[in-house]
Amino acid sequence: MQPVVILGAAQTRHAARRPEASYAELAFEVVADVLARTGVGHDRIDTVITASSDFWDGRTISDMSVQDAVGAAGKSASKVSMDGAFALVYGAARIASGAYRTCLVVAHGKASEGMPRAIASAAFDPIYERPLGPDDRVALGLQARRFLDLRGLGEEVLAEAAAQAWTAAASNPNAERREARTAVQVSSDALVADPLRGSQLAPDSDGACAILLADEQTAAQVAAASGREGGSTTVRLEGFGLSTDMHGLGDRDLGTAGVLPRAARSAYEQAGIHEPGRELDVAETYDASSAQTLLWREGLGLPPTGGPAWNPSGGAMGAQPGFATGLVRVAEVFERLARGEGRTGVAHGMTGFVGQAHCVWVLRRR
Amino acid sequence: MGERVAIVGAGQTLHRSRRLDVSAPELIDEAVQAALTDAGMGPDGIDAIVVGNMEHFEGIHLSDLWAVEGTGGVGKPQLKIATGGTTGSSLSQAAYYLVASGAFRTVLAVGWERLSDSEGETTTGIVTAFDPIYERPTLAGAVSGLAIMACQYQSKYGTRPEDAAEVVIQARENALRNPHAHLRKPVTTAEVLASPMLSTPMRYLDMCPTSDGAAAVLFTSRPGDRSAAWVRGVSGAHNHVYLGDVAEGAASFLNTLTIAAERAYKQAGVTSPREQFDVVEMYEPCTWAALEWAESLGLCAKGQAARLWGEGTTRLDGDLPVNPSGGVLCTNPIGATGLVRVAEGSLQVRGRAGERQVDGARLALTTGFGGSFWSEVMILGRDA
Repeated sequence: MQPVVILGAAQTRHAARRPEASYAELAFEVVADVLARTGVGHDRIDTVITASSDFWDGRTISDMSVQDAVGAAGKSASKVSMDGAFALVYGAARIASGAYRTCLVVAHGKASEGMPRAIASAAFDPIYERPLGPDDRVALGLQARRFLDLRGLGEEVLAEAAAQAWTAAASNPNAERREARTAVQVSSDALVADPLRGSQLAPDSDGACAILLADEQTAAQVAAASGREGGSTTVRLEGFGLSTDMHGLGDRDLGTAGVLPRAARSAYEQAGIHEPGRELDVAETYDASSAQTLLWREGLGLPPTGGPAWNPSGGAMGAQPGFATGLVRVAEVFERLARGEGRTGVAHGMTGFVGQAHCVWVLRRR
Repeated sequence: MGERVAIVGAGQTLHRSRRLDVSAPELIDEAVQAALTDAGMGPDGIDAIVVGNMEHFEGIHLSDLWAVEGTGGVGKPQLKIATGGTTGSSLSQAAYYLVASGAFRTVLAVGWERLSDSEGETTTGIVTAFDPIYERPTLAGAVSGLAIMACQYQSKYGTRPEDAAEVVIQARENALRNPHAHLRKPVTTAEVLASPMLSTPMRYLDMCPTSDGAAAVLFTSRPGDRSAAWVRGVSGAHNHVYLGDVAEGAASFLNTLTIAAERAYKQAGVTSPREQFDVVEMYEPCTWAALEWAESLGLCAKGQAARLWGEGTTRLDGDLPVNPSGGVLCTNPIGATGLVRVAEGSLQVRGRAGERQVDGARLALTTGFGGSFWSEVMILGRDA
């Protein structure tokens, strides 16, 4: 697939509760913001891809209620019912097919209006698993324990990773968690799912994210029209990878990064990256627990220390607005590269328990 | 420009009201294996999978990941699309764009619905699509919006209930030739008019059923010497959120179908749809919709659709056969329904539609309907 240009990105200030805004209004907020940032009007947007969950929204055909917010009327639109990073694959493909010049990709998630644990339990097999009462956090606990056991590590590594995430998120104005915490602090709150404590799990957040994509020619026109220097700040999507694992928790080795390396390999190959630890300047991952922070780092082929700037936004540990979470990772890498902080970055999205499906994007500034 | 894309395989399950003989992954597998057999291809030939299913109907969150062993998605890229009634057609479009973009060579589109033993239910699911405060108290499920459309159509053209009944009579006749179809029993005008009223003017037999079933279609940019149906036009048009806004100022209730069709016709070089198409596989959730939407598609003049059916133009041996498969009125596995239209259209232009084959079909029109009166269109041709 030919590279596609990111014209701009916008995200909400993610929060535990945004009672003043419906989720369509959260989507509207980021759409209005990305249009303002790029100087592009709705009339120049050819097609729209949204990402949302019917279970999270409590609405069947959950894309229906955001059609006005994203300006889809009269246009061809579609919905990817997965994390927003996956929706970006469809958006980029629509442009690379030559059928559309621009595509708006919008994802939202509003945890405060639902019951995240009950919803999560509905994703387990109704006969073999659900009667045992599992939810996403139970699965995350099993994964974290297996991760530690497999490597002979102690729980302190989870605390260290969590403290690093809390500290990074503290300086991210969009994060829900905005207070730096030490490893001692994140080790002292109650166990939620052994060995994970509350502050070692990503929060349930309200938020949205929008990314505007364009082909090369349109991107140059938009840059020229806005009077900005187009060439030096153009960030492209240069490679992606997707992979899917088995569903049953017992069918996977939860202590490994599972099928993530497969997705990463595909993305790196397309982008011509041979040594991710050296060639990447920034990495943002969807880490639903501090064990995942460590696992996904390994799965992306990055060294335990050094290498690219690691989750400078705080990652998903800073805010987890449902299906917007992975798209926020792409937005974070984009903004960093667009500001000139590095040239190449990787962003990771995830759907399903403990990483059943992964999506990896490589972004590069030219 | 992107790659040219062809369909080289299509498979369906036996669609029934209950498929208690199989689990959902087994149901999906039935369609996937049929598509692979049709294409003469093994699972290794598939580079990515696009899956469609409506979670609320099914009662399973992330149902795509739950059913991954049926789709063959383990270890592969898999995307889930869920857009209500359009899910099946949205799937076919996603698969098309993923191949046309060069992202993947061969993509399998898989849609399914299994309602008979699930915790979900179609109408309770669809009710939640509407705004809880402004619309839900009056717009209960799929029937009401379509009934409003039918009322408007009826009052505009004076169309009689027996005109609409002719649509389901022909659909049921066609379904007798389709082993996959769910409702394979002929009906008469008297039976349709005596069936219970759901919402004026729509009666029970005017409305589609809900079915257990799955469909799978293989899209590729490298058909080789396989029998191929080429994708000649792809388009969609979406709409506002509230029903009161969707048809405002439009020539027809489903103005999105006209918009989408015009775009797709342009891509395929279709200027005279009535003459150029050899077969239509239309997403008609009810008899009245078939009438109005044939007009939206430009198959006849406004208000003339009853004649199209009444004079037999739409019959299998007519000038422009509509839904030789029996259509949605006979088979409706929701997440697969739109994909069944594409599958049937592809079988027709590949000359593989068995007893329901339209002689010499070269150009097929397929449509999808869903959401707040959205439309999607795909045109398939024997020639690239």
